[in-house]
Amino acid sequence: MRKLYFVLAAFFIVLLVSVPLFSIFFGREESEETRILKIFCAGSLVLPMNSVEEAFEAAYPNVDVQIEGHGSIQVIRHVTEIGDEVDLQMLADYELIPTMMYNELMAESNISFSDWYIRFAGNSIVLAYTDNSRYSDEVTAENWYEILRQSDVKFGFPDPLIDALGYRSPMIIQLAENYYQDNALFEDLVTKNFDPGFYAVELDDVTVLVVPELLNPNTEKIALRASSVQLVPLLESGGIDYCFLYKSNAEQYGVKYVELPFEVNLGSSEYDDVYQRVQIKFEHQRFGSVGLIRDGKTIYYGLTIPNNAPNPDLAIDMIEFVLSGEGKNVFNNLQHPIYEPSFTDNKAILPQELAALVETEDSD
Amino acid sequence: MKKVNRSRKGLSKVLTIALLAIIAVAAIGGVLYYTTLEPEETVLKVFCAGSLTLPFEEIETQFEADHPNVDVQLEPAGSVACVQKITETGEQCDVLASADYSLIPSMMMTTESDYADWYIIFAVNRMTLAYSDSSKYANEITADNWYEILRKSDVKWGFSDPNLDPCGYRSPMVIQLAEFEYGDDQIFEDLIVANSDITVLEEVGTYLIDANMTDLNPDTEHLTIREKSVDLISLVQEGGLDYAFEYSSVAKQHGLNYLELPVTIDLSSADCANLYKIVKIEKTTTTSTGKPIVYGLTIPNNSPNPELAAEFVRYTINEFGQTVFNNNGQPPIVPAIADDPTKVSQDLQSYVVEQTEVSTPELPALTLTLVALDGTETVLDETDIAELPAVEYDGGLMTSSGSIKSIGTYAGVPLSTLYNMIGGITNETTVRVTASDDYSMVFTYEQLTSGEFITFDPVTGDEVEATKPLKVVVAYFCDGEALEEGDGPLRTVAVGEDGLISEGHYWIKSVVKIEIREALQDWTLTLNGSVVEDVNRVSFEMRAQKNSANWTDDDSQLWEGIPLTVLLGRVDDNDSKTFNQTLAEEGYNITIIANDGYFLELNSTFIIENENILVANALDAAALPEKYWPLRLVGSALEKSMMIRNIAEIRIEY
Repeated sequence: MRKLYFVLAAFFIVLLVSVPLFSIFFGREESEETRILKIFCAGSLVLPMNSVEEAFEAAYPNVDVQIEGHGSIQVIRHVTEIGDEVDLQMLADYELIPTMMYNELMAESNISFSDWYIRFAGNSIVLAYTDNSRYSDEVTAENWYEILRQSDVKFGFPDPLIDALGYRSPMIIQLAENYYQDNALFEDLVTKNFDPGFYAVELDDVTVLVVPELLNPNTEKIALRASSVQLVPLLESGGIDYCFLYKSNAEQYGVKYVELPFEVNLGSSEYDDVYQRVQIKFEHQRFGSVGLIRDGKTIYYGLTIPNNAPNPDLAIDMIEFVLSGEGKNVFNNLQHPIYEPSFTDNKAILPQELAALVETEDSD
Repeated sequence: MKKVNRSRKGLSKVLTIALLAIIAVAAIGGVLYYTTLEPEETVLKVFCAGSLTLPFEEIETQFEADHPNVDVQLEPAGSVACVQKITETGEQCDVLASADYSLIPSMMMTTESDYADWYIIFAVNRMTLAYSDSSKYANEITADNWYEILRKSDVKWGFSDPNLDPCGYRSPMVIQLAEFEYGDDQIFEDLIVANSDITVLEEVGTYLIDANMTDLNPDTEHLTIREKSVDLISLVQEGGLDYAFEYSSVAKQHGLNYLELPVTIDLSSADCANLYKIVKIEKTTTTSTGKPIVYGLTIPNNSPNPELAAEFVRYTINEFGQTVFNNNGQPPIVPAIADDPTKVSQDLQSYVVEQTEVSTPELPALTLTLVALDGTETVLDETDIAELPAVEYDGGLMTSSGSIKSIGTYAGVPLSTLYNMIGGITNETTVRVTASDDYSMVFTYEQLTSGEFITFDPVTGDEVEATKPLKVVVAYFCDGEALEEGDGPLRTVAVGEDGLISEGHYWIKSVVKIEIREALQDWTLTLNGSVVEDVNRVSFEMRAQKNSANWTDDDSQLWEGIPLTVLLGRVDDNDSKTFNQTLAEEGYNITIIANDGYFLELNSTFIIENENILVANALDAAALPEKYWPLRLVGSALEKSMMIRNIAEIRIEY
């Protein structure tokens, strides 16, 4: 009797394994036609990923890579809430993957949308300008905040409600206030230029920057746009003198920039305790599924393959390409270095091809 | 054709008779010769609306000059009467031109009454506000502020009697439609209701104006009503009136200045037919529904001279006719539009384009909840939405990563129509739009009333300024098709006449709720002790989360805020984190000052002895009502007279 169970079990296992193999085999056989690899990525990755797309399609002629850029939260929501089927998600804030996907179950299977991430790159924030910017011949890493204060200087950052760089920019200004011990900096650059006010509230050890429900900037001083894609043309046309950008994007756009101190630029994990003294709080809840608080912390990019990806095999090829193949060179050449090695939170369940490429991150 | 009078010359008697005989023979011969070889004079009969008389006379003159054998005979009458002469009295004509084009399909193109196969719409008239150079505020008035000018107490204005003159019943319609256009739901009230016995009854999406009375009882200090709109012309010219509602044609033909009103209210556009029809007016005779003043014509099937008639119609709709109508203040439709160009006379087909139907859209099942400022909910379904006046604009969105998407022609209901159904907005309110997945965005009063959005060129993607303000539309169609499943059934779109691209985050998919909400108003509380600190709304709210206190009053209302001791603690000494108990026991004077200067004095010892004294910023989990706003001192230890409201400052004197 036990033997019969064993045989039956073995039979089922063989069946379970062979059906997908079978279909993959035949799938490959038939599909000399083009397959689509759909990637949703953070806006700040669009430029390098467009170049990666070209290189990847040259190496995999039967694959059509389709890249859509969104705010990082939207990259996730398109999968978890809007119902888009995506093969690979790449975000400017890796923590959104565990917080928004691990406990979110797919309606039909009751499986979570994702259960691992790979943290593959960092970034830092710089102050970009051009030769035509006011005081461009004077601006330095020491005086940039005084320059922004000049009454004839206009600067820009993305809308904090829309874009991660948008809420990171006011953080940078508050971190600068702390670092330079200039107590009126946030008030002079931000609070005074919004009506209703965009206030910094000091609570014990944390300064909370409260993004008002309605962001109504004094457009003589501050330009808010959806993202850096709309800010850079403004910078280049002289509509603004300065704007905050990710360092990688500043390099990719070829604009000049001032590097900010580590204590300010959100680029170095050594200063996480400094960053954590600033927090963003939204008065308006744009997404029902996302909380109102964002903590100051080091910028890390993360990626995952959602569990409902139609082409996970292609996504794995792409991740290998980016972490260790030609895609990595593309990123490095575009001044957005890929970590060597990258880190994961859950090596055990990572697809095998990828497990070899990453290390388990310190769980501190 | 003008008759020629011949004069006769007198001659000597003898010669006269002989000559007369010769002349008579010659004349008779000549006439006989003429009538045999030359075609007979043809009469072309034109039935036209009274308001078309002037332009049609000009066309007649030119037509007869070019066609010497044709005698055009105009028979002007009311438009309905013109049609009835054909359909009821059995008269024949060659061209019928009506001031209401819809009479042709409804009265002449039905199976029971089959007198025509097609119609052409060729000109419009528009409701305008006529004035003279000496009218008050004549140099200030614009299409954006005219209703504010009419509101002024020193301005006199007028319109004709709704019960006697079509221009008269259209005037209150324009004023009602203006409420939608300008987002101000008091315009009709202030201009009409306050100055006459005319009233309006508002139901969901429709307005029934009641002018069913013989005496409209206008307050002639402000409002004058005369039998015919032309009666108002001389009043305006002589200074007895500053402004009068007139057709553009009448104003132009009498040489008055006139203000062009937006097409959404001036009853001139067939595209806005669905918008105009939400306004109805009940008169002593009938009820009229708002509709475009669009002129239409046809050649009836029993026209005796259909080919000549087509030639006359050509004169009416070609460049010559367009100039004539322009000069008469009746803007031509260029090119003219036919309901079915294939049925129009062959010679005219190259002069017309096909009409695009404006009809009630068929929408998928949906519900949309509107929430008024007081929390009252109105739920609309697809039928309600379909019946609301629709608008159509081109546009598209730019994603935050810079790609341009969703370009198309969007049709739907202006967001303003929806929020005006639930009380309208002011600069102290905002509108929050929520999607089925709880995604939401807030629109400001400025965005909604001035259309201030960042816009981009649809081709280059460059940021460009819009020349016309954008409108937020709750769209249900894109390019004539229901929105795709993930986007619809309703989606907010920020679009406009320029067809520019706007920022994608205002394009909210799957809209389910629209709420009017109080805009958060900033305020400051000054704490004035050994140090001075200004506490703003945001920091007060955040501190209230950390150090909350509450008190429930006799009416079970929950007041929440910060203990007074915590606020005092921030400025009672140099340590802002703690309340200095010792100092308070020694006793100091606390003055709580309202924003009107009213104040209350307390001693610190009283505060220590009575724990539950708080400065409240919330009542039943909402901001305090205006009466108490922004802060009120409350607590079980206080008499009602001590519960000072509108607090602006707390001062310590040692």
